Amino acid sequence: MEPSTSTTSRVVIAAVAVVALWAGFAYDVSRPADARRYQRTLAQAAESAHDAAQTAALVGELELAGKVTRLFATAAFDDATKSLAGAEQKFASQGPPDSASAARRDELGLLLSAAVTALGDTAEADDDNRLRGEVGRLKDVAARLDDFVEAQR
Amino acid sequence: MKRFFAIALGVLTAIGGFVDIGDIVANGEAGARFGITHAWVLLVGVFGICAYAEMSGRVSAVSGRPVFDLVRERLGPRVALANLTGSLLVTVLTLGAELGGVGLALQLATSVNYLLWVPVVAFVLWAALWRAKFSVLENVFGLTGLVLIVFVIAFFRLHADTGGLWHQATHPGPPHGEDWGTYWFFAVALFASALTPYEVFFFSSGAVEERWTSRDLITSRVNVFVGFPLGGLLAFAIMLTSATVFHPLSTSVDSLSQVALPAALALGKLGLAAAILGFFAATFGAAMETGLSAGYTVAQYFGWNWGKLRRPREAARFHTVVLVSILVGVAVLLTTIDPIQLTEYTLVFSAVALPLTYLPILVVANDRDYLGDRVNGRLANALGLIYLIIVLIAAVAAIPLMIITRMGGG
Repeated sequence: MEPSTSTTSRVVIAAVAVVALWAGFAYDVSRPADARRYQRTLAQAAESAHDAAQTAALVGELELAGKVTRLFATAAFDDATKSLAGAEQKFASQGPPDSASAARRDELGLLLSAAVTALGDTAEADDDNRLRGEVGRLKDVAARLDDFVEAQR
Repeated sequence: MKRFFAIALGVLTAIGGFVDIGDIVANGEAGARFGITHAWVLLVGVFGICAYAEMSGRVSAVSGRPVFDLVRERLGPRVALANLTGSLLVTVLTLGAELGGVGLALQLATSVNYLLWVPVVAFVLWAALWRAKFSVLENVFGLTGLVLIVFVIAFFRLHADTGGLWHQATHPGPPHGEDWGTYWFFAVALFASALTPYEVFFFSSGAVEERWTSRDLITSRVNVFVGFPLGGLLAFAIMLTSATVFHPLSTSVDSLSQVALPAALALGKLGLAAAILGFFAATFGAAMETGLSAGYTVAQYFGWNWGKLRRPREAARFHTVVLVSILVGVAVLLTTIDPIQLTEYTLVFSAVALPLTYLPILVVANDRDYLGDRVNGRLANALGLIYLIIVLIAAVAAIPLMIITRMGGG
C-alpha cells in the first residue's frame, strides 16, 4: 500500500523543520565570536576556574581540620583539576576578536596559570604548613577570579 | 503487629530508595547556583510522583497486573510501543548514570578512578539481580539509603542563615549572575528527577512481585504518601546543604565530591563516610531498580515471563534484557562520558519522555474493566490532569532550554 499524499507531505515538512533547526544550531555554534560572545566565554572559563579553586581550598581546609580522609581529598582534588582543565579548554577554544578582548584574555590567562599551579601544589602538599600556605594561595586566586567574573558582567 | 512492621519497613525503604543519582546531582547543582529558590519545584515533583505512584500501585494491587501490561492491552501495541521506546531509552541511560554514580561513590572512598570500578559494579549488580531475592535487594539498599539523613543533620549543624534561605524559598527566580533560561532549565531537571519514569514501573511491577491485592492498598498508600515525601525531604536536604555551603561562595557544584563536602564540614569524617555510604546505597539501589525496570517493561510489552519470583530459567528473556541493559549502561560509561554529565542529559531526556509514561497510567487508572469501583476519583483525576499539563510543558521546554542555556551553562 502506498503512503497517502498527506502522510508524505507531513514527513517532508517534519524533515525540513528538523534540517532547519539543525542548520540554525550549527550556525549558532560555528559563527565567529564577536566581542560580547568572547567576553561571555571568558567569564564562563573564569567561573569554572573559580569554582575549582574555591572547592579545592575548602577541601584543603577540611583536610587541615582532620575532617576528610586523605583518599577523599585526593579524589576531590582530582575533580577540581578536571574542572580546571575544562575551564582552560573553554578559554583556548576561541581567539579574541579585538584588542580590548585580547587584554582581557591575557589577564585571565595569568589567573588560570596561577590557579593550575596553586591547585597542583595543594594536591601535592605533604605537610600541614605547606598545605596551609597553598590553601591561602588558592583562596587568593579564587578571589581574583571572582573579581574578574564580576568585571565581565 | 506483623502488618505494622511490614508497613513500617515499606515506608523506610520508600524513603531510602527515593533518592538516586538524578536527585543527588540536580539538587546539589541547583542548591549551589540558585540557593533554594527551586524548593517549590521539588514540592511539585514530589506531589506528582505521589499522585501517579498511588495510581499505579492501585492498578497493580486491584488488577494483579503491572501497569505496563495493561497499557499495551488497553491502548494497543502502537501506543504501548511509543511508551516502551521512550521509557526504555531513558531507563537504560539512567541505569548507566546510576552505575557511574556507584563508581564515583567508590572513587570517593578509595581514590581509585570510577571507570575501573564500573565493570566490577556491573558484575555485582548482575549477580545480585540474578541470585538475590527481590525483598532482600529492596530492603537492604532502601534501608542503607536512609543514611542520607546525614544531610538533614548536617544542615542543622551548619548553622545556616535560615532567614536568607526562607527568603530564597519564598522568592523564586534567578539570583544575581544567573538568568531565567538557566533557572527554568534547572527547574525542568529537578522536576524530571522527582518523576523519573522507571520509578512508577518499578513500583507497579514490585507490587505484583510482592503479590499485593486490594487488601494491600493501605500499604501502597502509606508507602507513597509517607515514604515518598520523606524521601523527597532527603533530596531537599542535599539542596539545603549545598545552598548553605556553596551558594554564598558563588561556587557551582559539578562533582559528587562537592555534594559530600557539606556533610564533612558539619560532621567530620563520620559525616563524610555516611554521605559516601548513602551515595553508594542510593545509586546501587537505583541501578537495581532501573535494571529490573528495563526487563519489566520489555517483557511485559512482549508478554514474556518476567520477575524475580520466577527462577531465571523460567524468565530467561527477562533476565537477558536485564543483562543487555547493564552492558549497554557500562558501554555508555566506557565512552568516558562524565557520569554527572550523563545524569544531566538523562534528566533532560527523561523530561521529554514523561508524557509517554504518565498519560497511559491516567487512562488505565480510569478503566472500570480493570479497577471496578477502585477507578480514579475526582481528586485523583484532577491532580492527574494538572500534572499531565505540567509534564507536557516540561517535555516541550526541555530540549529548547538545553540548547539555549547550553546544558545550564548560561
